[in-house]
Parts: sequence; structure tokens; C-alpha cells
Amino acid sequence: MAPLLDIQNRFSRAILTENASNIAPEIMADGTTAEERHNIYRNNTFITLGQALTQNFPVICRLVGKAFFEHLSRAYIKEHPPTNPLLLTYGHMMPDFLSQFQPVSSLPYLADVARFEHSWNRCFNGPDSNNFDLEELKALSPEDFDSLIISFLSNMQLMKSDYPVLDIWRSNQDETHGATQINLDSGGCHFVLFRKKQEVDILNLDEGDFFFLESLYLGQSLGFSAEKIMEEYQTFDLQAILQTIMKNGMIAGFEIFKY
Amino acid sequence: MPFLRKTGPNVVSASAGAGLKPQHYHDVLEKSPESKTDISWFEVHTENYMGAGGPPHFYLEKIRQDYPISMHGVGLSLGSAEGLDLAHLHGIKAAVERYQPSLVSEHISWSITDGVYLNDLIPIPYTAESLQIICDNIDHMQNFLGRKILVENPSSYLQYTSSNQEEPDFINEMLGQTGCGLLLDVNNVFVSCQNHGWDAHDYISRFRPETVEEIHLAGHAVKKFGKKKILIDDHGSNISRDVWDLYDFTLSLMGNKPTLIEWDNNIPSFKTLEQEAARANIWLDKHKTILARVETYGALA
Repeated sequence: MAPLLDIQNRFSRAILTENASNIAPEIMADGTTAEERHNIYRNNTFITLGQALTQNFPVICRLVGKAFFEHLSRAYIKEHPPTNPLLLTYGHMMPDFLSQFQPVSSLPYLADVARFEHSWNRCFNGPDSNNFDLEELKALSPEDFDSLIISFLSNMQLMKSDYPVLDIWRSNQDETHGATQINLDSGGCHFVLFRKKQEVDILNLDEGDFFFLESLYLGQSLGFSAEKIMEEYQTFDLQAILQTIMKNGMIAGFEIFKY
Repeated sequence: MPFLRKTGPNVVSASAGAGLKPQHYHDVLEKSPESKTDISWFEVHTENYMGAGGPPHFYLEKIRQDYPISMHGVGLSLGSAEGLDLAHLHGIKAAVERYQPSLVSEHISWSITDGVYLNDLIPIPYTAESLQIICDNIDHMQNFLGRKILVENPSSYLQYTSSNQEEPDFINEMLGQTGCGLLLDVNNVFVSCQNHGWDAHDYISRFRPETVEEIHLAGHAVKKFGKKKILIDDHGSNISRDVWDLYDFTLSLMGNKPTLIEWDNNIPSFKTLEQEAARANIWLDKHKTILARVETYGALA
């Protein structure tokens, strides 16, 4: 009699390779065939994991169509089956997968749309924001600002793309019915996702503002980040972006870095 | 931050409850806790409330203030020969501590092996080795959570050639060794018995009433494979007449138990869910009346 671990490993491989010959001897045919019975579990696995991917990548599903998305999901699941039972953010390899999936090679923006959807999902299910009191910041002396290190909402996600992914995503929401025309050559975009309460907020950023925010996000001080960005972007407006950050409640805390 | 309950009863009673779905959050919150409703408690899939934050937690915290809940896990894979996923167990514990459910349950099945999660409730062969494995895993879970859990009998579409015990006997042995309770899914009993030619009444009769702490009811689908008809436990429709009859039989043997209406696919309106719960409450009332009469006669005798 085969040990349980061996049966389970063979059962699982038979699902992912869609070949039940190795597990068939362990299953009673009972009026049909062992393969047919195993197939019920294979189908359930692909259907329910496919539903999880549809839920996590609704815009990709809409862009490629439901039938093709099912085909694509099946290939994805076989290559990247979930490694744990938390399916809320299942599909983190989808961008890479799409960029190498031959049948969609003529749609190069898909990978970034998937990256956006995954970021949105991480923001939606990410940690809730705390209540940071801006007065604490306002109480700082001007010289402290230079060595200020800001920490942001831990659900915040920064993203840039060479494609207008934000326009693509927005025009493929349920309420818009994909009616907008989008020029793929209209250039890239930079933006930040964050969630204060129950809604995910999306903020379009200039390139300079984006790299400034990214520098802060990575833990560089305010003075260092501002100096670096000003060198590169003549029109960079430090006051304006700080106002934006504070007004939108993106700050979770801060510290003053002393040398 | 620990979740603090302001009000609301904390114990799931022997009445009808329903599986909580995001589509119904607003319907549930619009009802005042005092309003008479046929749904007196809710059950959630634990995994849906194991994200770090976000709207699922926002709504469940609100609903938890007014209703007792049960947390029903679908991903721990108690039947895994490789043991339990510790990270997942930690996540369940955090969710249980946060929401203080009246009942915590899992399944007699497996879904994880070799680092892959298959997202289905696959049966285990009923052997001495499987019994040892699932009892060790249940002990592990109960010790880790510091509380008793319930485990649910599976619906299945296959039997293993290596099984040498009958499913209810295996389950009884498991209940005895671990001290966990049984979540008796009456639809699963019906589905498995139809699929394998077992006797559903005999299956249910083998359990002792005090081990059954919750009942599940759900709809199933009928599929044909060649000439063979196989029932699929899809939780996507009304509860069938046959399953209501089996529920009636179950209550007559086990007494009244908290009864959950499960509906996870083709999610209906909240009203439809309430109607199914009302049906369960009618059966529960009937058995309550019978029991009261039996007691009256007993007192007169």
C-alpha cells in the first residue's frame, strides 16, 4: 500500500500535468473510470483557481475575453500554482507570465496592466492606515526638514509604465464599458496607489514628482531626495508635491535622521 | 489592534445561519440587530479575512458587533501527510483572536502537498496511516489555537483502492482520539452516499448526537459521466428536497443544532438566502415542538 504522501504527490502532479495515468491505480473506477473521477478534481482545481484569477485580474480578463482568459489561466496555474491557501493576491507572477506568453506577444501593454491590477489588489488588501497627525510634522524646525525621513502608508504602491495603463484600466471598469479610445503611443504614466479608508485612491504624478516620492519611499531623507530631483527636473516644485502628499494623507510617520 | 465587541450575543445558537458573502454586506448592515430575521448568525471562510487589512475586515468587524459568527477554514488541509502549513496556522490564529468566533471549523480532506495548494477539498484514503496523520494535524491545530475545533465530513467523487475503513467509522475514531466535534454537512452526506452507493440514513445514524455541533445545508449539481450520474457539491443552488428530508431525519436523531445555509456560487439575493434560512427554522421549530411534547409526556408518565 502506497504511503499517503506518495498518493498526494502523485494526485497533485496528475492534476497539474493533466495526466492521470500515475494516480489511476489508487482510485476505484466504480461504474466509470479512475481517470474520469480524478478529472472531476482536476476540473474543480482549474475552475476555482481560474475564478480567483478572474477576480484578481478583471481588466486582463475583459481585454482578452473570457474564453481566452480561461485558456491563459490554465497555462498560468500549471506553471505557477498557488503555494499557499491565501488567494486574495494570487497571481503575482502574472506580469512576467504575460510578457512571455506567446499568444499575447502582440499586446505588450498587458503585462503592465496585470502589474497594475496586482498592485491595486495589494493596496486593497494591504494593512489599514493609521491616523497620523500632521501637526507633529508642522512642529518641526526648518533645519529638521532636511534630514526628515518619511514613512508612508504600508498599503501604498508606486508604479510607472511605458504604456497608458491607467487610461486602459479606467476605461475598462464596469461603469465605462470600455468605450474610450486609447492611443497606445500617447506615452507612459507614473502614479501612486494608496488606501486611507475603504477605497483605493490613484494619483497621477509628473515624472519628477514620481521619482521624488520613490526616493522618499525608499527611505532617503527629504533634503537628499529634493536636491537629487531638482538637479534633474528644472520644473520640480517641492512645495507642491509636499502639499499633495500631506493633503492626501499618505504619511504614516517620520523620523529625523541624525548623522 | 484587538477587536473589541461592543454588543451582540457571542454564541451561535441552534438556529439558522448563513454564509456571509461580500455581495450581502450592505443587506446585512441595513437590518437592525433587533429586527426579526431568519438568519441569526453568519459563517465566513477564514481565508477571506486573513488579508492584512481592507474592506473585508471593515465589514466583518461591523457585522460581528451584531451577530455571533463561525469561522470555517477551507485551506489548512488537515489531511496532508506533510503536516500543517505553520504560516497559515498563524494566520488562522490571528483571525480567530480578532473576531472571537463561537465556532471554528475545517475539513476532513487535503489540498496541499509538495508546496502546492490545489484549492479543492480532496478526500483521503480511510486507512490507519491516514487516521494517524489527520489526528496529529487536528491535535496540532487545537493545541495551537487553544480551543476545540469542528471538522466537516467531505463530499467526494472517488474512493481509494487502499481504503479499508468506512467513512463514518473513520470519522468516529478521529472524533474519539482528538476530542474535536463534527460539523455534519447533510448535503455532503447525500452527495457522497449517492456517488458511492452508501446508505445516507445509516451513515448519519452512526454518529452520537453529542459529537455533532453544527450542520451544513447546501445545493448540489447533477452531472453525467457516460452512463454514470455523479452529484457535484457546488453550493450553487437551492437545497434539494432530498437533502431537506435528510435534514429532518438528522434533527430527529441529533436534536436541534446550529444550521448553516451555504451558497458560494451563483450567489442569490439576500432575500433568497433568508428564505432558505426560514425553511431551516421551520424544521428546527417542528423538532423543538416534538421534543417539548416528548418531555411533557415523560413528565406525566
